[in-house]
Amino acid sequence: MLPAFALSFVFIWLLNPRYGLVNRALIALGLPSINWLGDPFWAKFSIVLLAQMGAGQFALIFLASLRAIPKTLYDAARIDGANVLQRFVRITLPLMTPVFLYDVVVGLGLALQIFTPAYIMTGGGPADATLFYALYLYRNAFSYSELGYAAALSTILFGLTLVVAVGVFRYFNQQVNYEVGA
Amino acid sequence: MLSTALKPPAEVTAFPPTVWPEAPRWANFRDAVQFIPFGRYFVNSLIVTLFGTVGTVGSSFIIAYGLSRIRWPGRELVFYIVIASIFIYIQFPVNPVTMIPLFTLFASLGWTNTFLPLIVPTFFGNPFYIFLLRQFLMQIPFELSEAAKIDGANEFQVLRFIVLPLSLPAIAVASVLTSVTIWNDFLGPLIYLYDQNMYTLAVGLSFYQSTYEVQWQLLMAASTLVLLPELILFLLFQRAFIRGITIGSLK
Repeated sequence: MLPAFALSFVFIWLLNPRYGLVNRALIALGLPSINWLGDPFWAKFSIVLLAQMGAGQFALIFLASLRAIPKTLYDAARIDGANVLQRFVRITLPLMTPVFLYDVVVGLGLALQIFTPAYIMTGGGPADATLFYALYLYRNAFSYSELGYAAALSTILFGLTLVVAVGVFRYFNQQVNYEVGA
Repeated sequence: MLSTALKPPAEVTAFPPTVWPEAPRWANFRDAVQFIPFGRYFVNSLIVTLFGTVGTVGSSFIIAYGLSRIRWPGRELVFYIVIASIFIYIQFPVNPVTMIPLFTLFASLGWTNTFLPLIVPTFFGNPFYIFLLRQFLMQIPFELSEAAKIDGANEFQVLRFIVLPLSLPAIAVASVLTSVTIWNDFLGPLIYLYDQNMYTLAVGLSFYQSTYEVQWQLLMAASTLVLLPELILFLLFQRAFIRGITIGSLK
């Protein structure tokens, strides 16, 4: 729910090689400090790290759906002698599969279109390590004025998005349980 | 974030870092607001968010009504197309997939550097909110609509006087979600607005960063101020949020 641009600012600050809290914590633990946004591997890692901050949204969805599971199912299972683990594996997980599918599809879609953190934090660098598709698209369209090329890129992204969405849906839909709708 | 926002400039880079500033410097907020035309950007963000929310929720509601309360041939097909496009319009209101053709369109209309490209598209609905509202509308008993029609109400009267008052909870949820998303939008203002006076907060804030000596305490103070309206909105509508997400995610 938090805006990507504000989080990006906070992250630049936290990951600052000299003054950032993260590196200071590493040094305090006796570990080597990391040049987070200056190293091709760690820059990518930093953006993945930032993406974890989007977990709140999915946590909310999980929370809402967990509450929607009828309590009677658990009571019935308890009477039949199922323990905590069995109740979780046999009741909670199967009933949550539609939510997992939804979250996977939405998460993948958002990740494919990731733009703001890379634009603000790294600008695509170092050595193009964080030059994501949307950023490349943006650059071609608005920095290099290659609108034709950018339009072609967005068409490919459209196709790619479609293939991924249909693929995920097809693959996981068999495992998804819609029967006892909450 | 708040901690750095309250530190005096010298303490920001102090070693060892302090978790909480010894003497909170609230003046940072005043400086942050004066460093960039914060008030101007705030108003710009407010205009875009307000019209964008009205546009998105209003149009999505009418589309959702058409997809749930009226029967017509091909409705299911259209609904599936709407569902499929959720994946593309996931980044709302501007997404990388459609931004190039839309940009060329709005540029040829001479709409760049106005709020129009950020507001007008929202009046054509958003598949996610259409889906969310449709799920809710399906739950309203159809007998109510039929009773009203027997009493001589036409479709618009049913929409206005029967269905709309009953859908207010769902509309509230959709409005909160939409306004937060538009408020946070970075890509849209970035590509359409190039006059500094037109910037929204999201883009305007990068000013702190573009100055070669980054004023961290000011950047953090400004970020806090940007988050504040969202935080208040969220606390006010926390219950509606969680309930609303259930409408959307579970069938």
